[in-house]
Amino acid sequence: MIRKITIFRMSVGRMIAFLAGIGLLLAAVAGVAQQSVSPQTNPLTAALPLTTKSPEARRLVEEALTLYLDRVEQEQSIQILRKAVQVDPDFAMGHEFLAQISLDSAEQVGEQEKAFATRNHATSSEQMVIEWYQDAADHKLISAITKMNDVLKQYPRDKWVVWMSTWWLQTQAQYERSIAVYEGSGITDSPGLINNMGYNYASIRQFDKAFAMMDKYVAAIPNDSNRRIPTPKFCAWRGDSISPSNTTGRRW
Amino acid sequence: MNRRLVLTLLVFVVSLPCAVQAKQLAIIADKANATSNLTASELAKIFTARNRSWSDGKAITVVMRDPATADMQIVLRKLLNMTAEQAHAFVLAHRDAIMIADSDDAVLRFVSTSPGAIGVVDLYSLTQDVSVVKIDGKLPVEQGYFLRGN
Repeated sequence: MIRKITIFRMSVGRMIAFLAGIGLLLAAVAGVAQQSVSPQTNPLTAALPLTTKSPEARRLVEEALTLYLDRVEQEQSIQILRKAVQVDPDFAMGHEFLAQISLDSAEQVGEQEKAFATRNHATSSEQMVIEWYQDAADHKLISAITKMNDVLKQYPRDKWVVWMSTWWLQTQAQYERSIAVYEGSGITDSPGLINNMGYNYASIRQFDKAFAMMDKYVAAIPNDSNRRIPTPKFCAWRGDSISPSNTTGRRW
Repeated sequence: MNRRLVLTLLVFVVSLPCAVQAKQLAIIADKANATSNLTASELAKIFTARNRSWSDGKAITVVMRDPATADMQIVLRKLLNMTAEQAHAFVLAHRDAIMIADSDDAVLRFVSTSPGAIGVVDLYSLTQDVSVVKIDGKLPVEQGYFLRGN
């Protein structure tokens, strides 16, 4: 009897340990499952992190990017980015965006250097963006391309990643690839991207799509003072003769 | 705003003569493949299924996009030395050694996960999941690279 009780007690102990083990295992599996469906790991919804110790600097960068891409206000955007990197000089992506958007070549170079120097304050994804641009600046083209594509694979629908990729490809005269990235992103409401795509389509002589993009751009920003500029440019590329009628006839 | 568009236009005015920039294709292999360089003649033998195994004995699988597509014109001309119709028939006759993928992403996926596979993609589609194989000692960006054309 005593022996049986002892055995029974041992069994209960083992049973408790077994159940506790199962519980821990289930908790771990649930944790992994939760991680795998979180927005951070789902490429369709994942957003490139913007790492800074200053909430104010982050707010400024987000405001600057919105101004740049959604309202196509580059000058204002640059001023705000300059403020952001003053607030947090270690904000690596802040420096990177300023390097890309700035109109001053000395500032572009200086900010790229600062982005590279401060990249250890950022996440691995942000570091990859910064290294992609650094490789491009250092003429390591294959390395730059692979890093761009790896960032795109992680964030194919992130507006800033799509803008950085399409614009960089455009500067490399890779218009078809730039269009493929844009079309794959599913983003249709960004005037800045729409404007750039107009030029991409025109560059590969798909003028119907180029003009359609510019119509969308004008509809999105009807008061843009430069809306007439692309018309003569695109017409010239198409081989049209340039005359006052076709440079001003269309409402751009 | 004005300066942005002016800058955009300047970039395009400068780059327009290069708008039809020479297309460059990259030869890719899986990361574990020890081959880092092939001569143009060795590559042609692989793509025409005259050489079907690597030096370690592993079987070679070639994967590329439809040879009739515009992007593959350089492959048709420089590696296969066939017309699009001949290439189509050739691929059909060598299904065990040559695979056709519908996009560069598909080529990259297949090569990165298939030991012994070799593929061809646009230079600007490259990812870190594959190794780039030199041709005659040259990478795609280098002067005189073999798979460069319009």
